[in-house]
Amino acid sequence: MKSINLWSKEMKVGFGSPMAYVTFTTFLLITGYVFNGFSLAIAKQSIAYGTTNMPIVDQLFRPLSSHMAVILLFMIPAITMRLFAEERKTGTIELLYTYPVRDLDILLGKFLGAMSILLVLLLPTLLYAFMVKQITPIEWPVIISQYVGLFFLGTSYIAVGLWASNLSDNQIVAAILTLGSLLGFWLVGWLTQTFPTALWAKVLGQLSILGHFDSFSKGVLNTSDITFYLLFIAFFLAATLNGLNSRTWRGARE
Amino acid sequence: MIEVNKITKEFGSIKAVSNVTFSVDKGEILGFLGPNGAGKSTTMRILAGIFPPTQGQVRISGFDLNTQVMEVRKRIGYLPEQMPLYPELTVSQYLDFVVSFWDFDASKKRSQIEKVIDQCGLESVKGALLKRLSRGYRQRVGLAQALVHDPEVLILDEPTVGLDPKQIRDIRDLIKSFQGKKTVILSTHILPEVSMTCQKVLIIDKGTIIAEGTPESLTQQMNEAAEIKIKVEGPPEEVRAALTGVPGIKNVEALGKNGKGSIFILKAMNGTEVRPQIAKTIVERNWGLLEMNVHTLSLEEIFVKLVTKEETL
Repeated sequence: MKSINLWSKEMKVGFGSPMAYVTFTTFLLITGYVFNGFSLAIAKQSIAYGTTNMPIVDQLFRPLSSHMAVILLFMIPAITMRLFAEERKTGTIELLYTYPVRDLDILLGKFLGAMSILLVLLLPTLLYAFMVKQITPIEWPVIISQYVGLFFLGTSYIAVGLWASNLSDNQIVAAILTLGSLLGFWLVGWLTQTFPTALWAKVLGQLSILGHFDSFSKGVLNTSDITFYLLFIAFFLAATLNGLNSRTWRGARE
Repeated sequence: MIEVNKITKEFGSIKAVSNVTFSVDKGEILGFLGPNGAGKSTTMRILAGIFPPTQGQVRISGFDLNTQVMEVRKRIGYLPEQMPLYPELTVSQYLDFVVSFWDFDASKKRSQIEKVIDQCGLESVKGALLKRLSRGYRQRVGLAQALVHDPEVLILDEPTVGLDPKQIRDIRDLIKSFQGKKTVILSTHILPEVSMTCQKVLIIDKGTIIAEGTPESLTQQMNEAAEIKIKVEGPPEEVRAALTGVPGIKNVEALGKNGKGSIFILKAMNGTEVRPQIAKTIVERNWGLLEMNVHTLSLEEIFVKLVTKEETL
């Protein structure tokens, strides 16, 4: 319950700083540019070869959502970097420790806050689907699956960002650490291509956060991929909570 | 109400607080005195539940800080030395946020916020963003967040720092009004503040308590060997010998000649009034008594004396 109070404060603080708006604008500009690029390519193709048989969701929205997944990877650190680092630097976190609030509530408040910002970031891009729908019918279930995937993926990024933000009182350090970790979790996926036969490469390749997004972008909600994201998020949230606890009291645990 | 039992806090190899024991009764106001880096803030931060002591126990309102920190947190209000604030929030948004951690119903929340806004003089800045506040107002917002849930115990780390004289008086009056109702620990550098507001004083230096008592008893303690300064016209050696013979005088120190007379510092034994005897001794011998002063120590001098004594050891 108390995490809701913290969430509401996170919203006021988050939307009270220019960072949120800079991030929104950048994200929308870049995704808009990508959407425009793919649309023009399809238009050119249609003019040259007549209409294609491929459904528009596969031709346009699948690559668009994959690109959005990568753009998000660069945007989320900007949102999460301040969450703990700023409160540590200014000392507001110490005051929180004198209120009757558990560490878990503080963590969940921040987590929910960042998730809400992620939603606000993603929702306007649904406009692209509505625009295309004016011209040609689209398969909504695929679009929904893509956005569910983006939401899981973005939330995973947030979990890493929270963890990194709690390690330092410097926001830049937190952002770079988040970005580095996320790039690492992306690049392990390439191992399977470099060493196609090696077992260890296959195992490590499973850790690729973007690899698990493929099924979502195809419109398939795969239980194993959903489980991966849930475990990934839980792992980093637990690591963050552990970091919070180690600085405070045993009695404030849970 | 507050029982602190042999707490020690180490930051790595640095011992910030060492074996500190004291207690504060319900309704009492305790003043915490000490130079910078003495361990005042560390002790207060432990009491406020920010971090646990390396060793020792703290009980607040009967709850053990080590095992029941949530119960303790419900009952304390803490004002940090430097009030950290969320720059993006307004004063009333911030107080709404703080009060939401206590399980009050909506009307109680509203009335508590109105009460502290009034107590701390924040009416005119209610809608202002915290980042725009001056230092004095920041401090008052800090006091407001410490008071908003009407805590039994208040821990105030230098509550009047950065305020102008009128605000200082207002805040002191406010703190004094808690006497008998709330248990208060306040730290300060300003010594008159302690004699004005506190019933009990604790002087801490280098992490250990070096003196404890009421402002009056501390003054008395230090005056045990009250100093009397006299200026006598007469042969210095004989004067000295005669004064040493006066009953009740512990020690005579000659400071040399000054104009017509010689100056002596006399230390009397505790509680004995030696001045009439000194005067008699001098007059009987036909010397001239030019000056006689009893030097009582103010709390400030006691503080300096205790702390510097520690340093010269």
